[in-house]
Amino acid sequence: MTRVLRVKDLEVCFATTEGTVQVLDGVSFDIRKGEVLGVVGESGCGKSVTALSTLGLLGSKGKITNGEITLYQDDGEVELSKLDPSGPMIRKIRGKEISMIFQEPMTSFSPVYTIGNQIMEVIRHHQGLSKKAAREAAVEMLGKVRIPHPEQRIDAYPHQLSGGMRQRAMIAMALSCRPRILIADEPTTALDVTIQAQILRLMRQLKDEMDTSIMLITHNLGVIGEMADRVVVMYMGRIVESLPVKRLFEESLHPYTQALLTSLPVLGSKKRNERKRLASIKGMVPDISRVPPGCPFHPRCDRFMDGLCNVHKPRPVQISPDHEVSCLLYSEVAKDAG
Amino acid sequence: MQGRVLLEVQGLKKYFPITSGFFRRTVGHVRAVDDVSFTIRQGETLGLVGESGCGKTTVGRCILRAIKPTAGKVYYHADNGAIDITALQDDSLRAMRRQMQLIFQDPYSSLNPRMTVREIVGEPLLIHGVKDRQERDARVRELLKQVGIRPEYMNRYPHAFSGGQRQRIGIARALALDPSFIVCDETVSALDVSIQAQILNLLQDLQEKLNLTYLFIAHDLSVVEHISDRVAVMYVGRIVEVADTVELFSNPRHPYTEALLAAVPRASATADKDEILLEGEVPDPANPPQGCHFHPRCKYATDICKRERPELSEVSGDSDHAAACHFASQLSLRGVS
Repeated sequence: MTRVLRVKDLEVCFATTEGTVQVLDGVSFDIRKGEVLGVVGESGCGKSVTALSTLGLLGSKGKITNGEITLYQDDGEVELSKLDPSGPMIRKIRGKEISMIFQEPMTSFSPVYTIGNQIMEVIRHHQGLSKKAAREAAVEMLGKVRIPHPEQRIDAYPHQLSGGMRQRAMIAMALSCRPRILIADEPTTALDVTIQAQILRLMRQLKDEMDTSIMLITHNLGVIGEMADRVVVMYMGRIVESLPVKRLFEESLHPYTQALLTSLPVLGSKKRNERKRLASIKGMVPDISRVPPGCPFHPRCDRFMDGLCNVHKPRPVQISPDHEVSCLLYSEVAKDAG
Repeated sequence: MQGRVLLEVQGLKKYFPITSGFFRRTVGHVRAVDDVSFTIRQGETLGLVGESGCGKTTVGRCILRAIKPTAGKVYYHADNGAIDITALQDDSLRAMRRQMQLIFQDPYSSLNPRMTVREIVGEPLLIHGVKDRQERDARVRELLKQVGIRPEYMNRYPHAFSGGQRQRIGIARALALDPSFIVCDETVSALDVSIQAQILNLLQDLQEKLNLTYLFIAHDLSVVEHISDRVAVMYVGRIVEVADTVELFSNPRHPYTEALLAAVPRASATADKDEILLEGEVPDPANPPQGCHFHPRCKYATDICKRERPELSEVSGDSDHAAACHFASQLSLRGVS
């Protein structure tokens, strides 16, 4: 399959009042054409920062200090990390080549313009259509995301729509220029489960229809299991494991991935008169400004090896063509010592 | 699970007025809770699930008398007889509140940022007459230890703690007065999965140790399944189904329960899931549909569903399983397991 995006050795730092904090440390992954790449991890692990750096949206405090983000277009490659975040080049890419939907559809629309206005703005900016043609295109998109009566709803303000409808409108805006890549950052987290199911189904259908690749960021492993083709698991700014979703639930190798899976209650697994305890991960995620040395997960890890995990930084080990894990249990260092 | 009934809710209603115009005339009512009845037994966890706006939080608040219900009774069966919580006034209500506590959803806004942990956890003790400071501090220390916070940290302010730790502090505060009944309102929904598991385990441990009874309000069905002994499902202000947890999840009798279970994203989703997925949205509780509230979204609905409200009634063959559907005994619905 052809690559549409490659992120390689990405490092991102943020300036804070207490000095510079490194929030991404050597993040590498590919997104292939038409696939859904799931990105999972707990709050603060760097999922959203990864997405934002792709679009040059880190803001004035954030900086890419190392690494490459390459977008593969039909007519060549663009190195996104080198682009001026407020320059004309990245503006041609945002919304057209790569677009993004956010968790909170209320705050990601401007409350003072109608949704139609905001969708038309994207279309006119990238396609240079007339107002009339842009409106027609916007109505068509709203119909595609199955908003009832799109020709009337196009003049609605965001507050006049329900949460689910707003998220549909958001998807309509993001997909209005048929982007190569759609970044969906917790797209259904704020929604009720029946609405979530509707939105996920819609995203699947539109992806197939438009052949868009999706980077799906979520903390919900159920959503990943249902939607993604491949998954990367992040912990404290690093990718600890990447593998096909089919193998995630059975064959994951990293102790963090395994712990994450066992700490979730599984629907339909309860037996009569049974009271189970969940396997929980001890402690909590350390402050990102105090990343533990060696493997950042070692203080919480059940399979911690003293003298190794707290000393050596694990490198990604290739287990099979699509499966990489960054853990010393599987690397040469451990074998040598063992 | 059998046991004596601790809490009995009968015909609970809470209507919020909708006002309009300069004189705030009442032009209608939001029927947040519309005739809800259920019981909770001593030592059990009753899960209450439903989508946002279905009234599950309002039920919890009415039971605790944080808000006064419009109608209905809530009986608390103490050792010396039943007390109607809805009829209590001032002093007797305050005494009752020692028995019943609430753990909130948001560990950030539910702790006063200007109070230390010592003051936060000690405040209920102070209000309920523990005037001696040393006695109070000793109890705070004990409580913090119980929820896994180091007592040395009691002089810190909430901002010094992570979300999971704050939730533990909220739990310590709820336990301060030795309650017998606790309403957990979305207690773990704001937490990351690894922390969520820790807090769920803590709640279970405390329940066993202190013989607590929980009303566990949540929207996450897998969490509810995990922690609850019985589960009640709410839809637009009414309970549509209540049953033993395993029974409800494996053998639902209300079409809404079936749809809710099917909507949960799972790795092992079956191909025909799409058939059960709901269309449309939850109706406005100020103007709910006639008859069964669920009929506009229900694929099994017939004429009677549009006209008559189905009562919550026992499903044949199981005294512990009730559903509010005209066809509860005819339909064959699919659960999970």
